[in-house]
Amino acid sequence: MTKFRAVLALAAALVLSACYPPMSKYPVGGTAAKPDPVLVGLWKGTPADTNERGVYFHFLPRQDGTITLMMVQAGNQPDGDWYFATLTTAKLGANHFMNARLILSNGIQEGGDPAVQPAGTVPVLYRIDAKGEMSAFTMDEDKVKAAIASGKIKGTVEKGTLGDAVITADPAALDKFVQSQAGLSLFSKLLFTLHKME
Amino acid sequence: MTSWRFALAALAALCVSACLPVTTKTAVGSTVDFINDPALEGTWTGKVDKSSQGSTYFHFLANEGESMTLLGVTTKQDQDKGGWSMFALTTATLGSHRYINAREISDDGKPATPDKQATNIPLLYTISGDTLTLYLLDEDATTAAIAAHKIAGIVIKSQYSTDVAITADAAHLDALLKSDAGAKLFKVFVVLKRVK
Repeated sequence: MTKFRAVLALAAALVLSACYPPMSKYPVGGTAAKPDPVLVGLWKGTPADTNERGVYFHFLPRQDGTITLMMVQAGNQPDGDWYFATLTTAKLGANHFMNARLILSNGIQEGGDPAVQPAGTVPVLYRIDAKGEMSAFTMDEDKVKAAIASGKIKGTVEKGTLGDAVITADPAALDKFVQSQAGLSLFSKLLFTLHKME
Repeated sequence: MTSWRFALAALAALCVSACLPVTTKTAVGSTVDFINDPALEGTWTGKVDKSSQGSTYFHFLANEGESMTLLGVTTKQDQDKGGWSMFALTTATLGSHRYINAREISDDGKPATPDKQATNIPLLYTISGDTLTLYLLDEDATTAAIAAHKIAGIVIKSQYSTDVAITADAAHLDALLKSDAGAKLFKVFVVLKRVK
């Protein structure tokens, strides 16, 4: 599994030596991608791992239809980390997805180097409840590997127990799959619970 | 004064016609040790542009080696889609006055020009409880100080703008800014509240 210099993917694990969550060669809802205005603004995220610090998420719409995501660790402890990612968002059926690609980790370029970050984007399922609280989920790596192995979805898995999983299904097959029960069940890794600040 | 497409440096006023603040050739506090001020660390917010409803968030992050990173993120407001900038900071205390040196590193993810990256913008700051007040050198007061030979510097006037830069060496710069007279050259830039 490809090691990261610092952290996660969309938003995630915020620990050194963390690995990329499962990625997709094509973005979910590629042709239906449209920036979700509900996201725009500042959110504060509480990580699923309570040992980690909270994170501020700034969602900024861009002219090209993408969303810039700035993630900055909260709190006034030293050595806070920050990340810059680009997103597209899409709604498929009743489900909302982000496709995230990390660009900078603490100011250092992370994107563009296949040796560091696999090609493609990290699919994230997000749900906003009646109280306005957002839950963001990435795909569980073991489940993705099992789905690929059983032929439910086309993809590649690197050798070794830490090998990265990348879904390579074409856009139509990918979108159909992630709307199915089997596809949705892969998004079981809660990353953050977020509430909107502004 | 050189026009900047994106604001006022650190601090970033995010408007097309904004001008570069008064700069210094050397960083303030070069004659003493730069020491990160832990009181700055964390997230602060305020309105850099009082005519806008949008807020700017200032994330101060301490780095190793007594330097800090400032991420300034301005939220979307109406037609303004917002943006972000990254600055490299050092902090120092001269007498009873606390200073930040800011250099712009990138703007919306694009590297700043080498000139901008090398340009030092000094700020005076005070912290009272959960209120952080940032001050920039006042252009008129600094111009007067240069004219009166209180400090070495250059003033370049053009039809639409004026550039003011203090060129004094570190010893003279720090000596002036250690004094109350030097601190009085600054005027309030923005008042920020700590985000908890």
